[in-house]
Amino acid sequence: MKETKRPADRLKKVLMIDKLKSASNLEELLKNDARILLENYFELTAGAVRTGLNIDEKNLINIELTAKAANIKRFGIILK
Amino acid sequence: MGRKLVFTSGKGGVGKTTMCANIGIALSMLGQKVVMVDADIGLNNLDVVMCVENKVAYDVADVVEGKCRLKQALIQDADFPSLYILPSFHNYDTANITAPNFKSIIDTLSVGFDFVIIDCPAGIDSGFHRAVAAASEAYVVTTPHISAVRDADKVMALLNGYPLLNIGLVVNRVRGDMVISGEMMTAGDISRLLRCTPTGIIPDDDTVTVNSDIMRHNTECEVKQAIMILAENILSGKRRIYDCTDDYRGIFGKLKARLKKMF
Repeated sequence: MKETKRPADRLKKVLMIDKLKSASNLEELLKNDARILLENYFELTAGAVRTGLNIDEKNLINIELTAKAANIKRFGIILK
Repeated sequence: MGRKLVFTSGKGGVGKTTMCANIGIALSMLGQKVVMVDADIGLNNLDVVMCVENKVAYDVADVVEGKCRLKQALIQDADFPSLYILPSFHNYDTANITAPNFKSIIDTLSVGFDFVIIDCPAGIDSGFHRAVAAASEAYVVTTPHISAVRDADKVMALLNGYPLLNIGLVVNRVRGDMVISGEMMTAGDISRLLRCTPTGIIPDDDTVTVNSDIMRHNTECEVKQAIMILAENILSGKRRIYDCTDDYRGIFGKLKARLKKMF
């Protein structure tokens, strides 16, 4: 049997999803910023940064960030 | 200079026109000189709600096109001499009614009136922009339904881009019995989610379905009290709120709520 949610809880989820999918494209901004940050520490492989934003059953935002790197940088120098 | 208020919502059918009409009447009862302007080009209803549809000789399009003076297009209310209505154009041909033209009319009206109340069309397209750009204060009308509050949230985000002195929130058609039972959102829930304190909370009442301009009728009902409180809040900046749940608390309140559901 489907659990009845409080209307306010359901609305909160709807509003948060709207904001995540808004014209400002939060996910794309996050991906670009994450790439810049990670490239300071890692030699990232091409197209390796993936982001995921979704709302869980407690109306909290799950933020997932995964990336793959070929090597670690230290002071901008690639360690061999 | 008078205050220029726009009542908007995003979603249609939440009670913008009814709110405009009744707030206009309430403010004139409080001694203010008020003009209500129907900014809904094509789907106008303010004249019908105010029962002046048979008195429309000129409308806002005639004023813009120079076919009449602004004063000639104003319709004085029969019961409240300090209340006037500027009806809208009934054909959806808005080529001449641009935002600057409309703003010019509103600014002219604000010189001679204490309040200019603008009834904004539903939606967030050019009609919305035309109405909001002419106003100095905005009141977002919503009902405690998810779709209405969702649209109100988007409208509020858009309103932040305009140089408005004040953005208020009016929660309309609140069912006190359903709020008590948890089936309907509280005004507090809406206020927290929209991050805006309500200026007014209006209970749901069948008498408004019968008489949309309820403030001019002698019927005693909760809606009239709530609208008068809202008008006083708008006029003097007070923060009184009508409690829609008061009647449904306690043993007798629960009995009343049960009877309401049965009938």
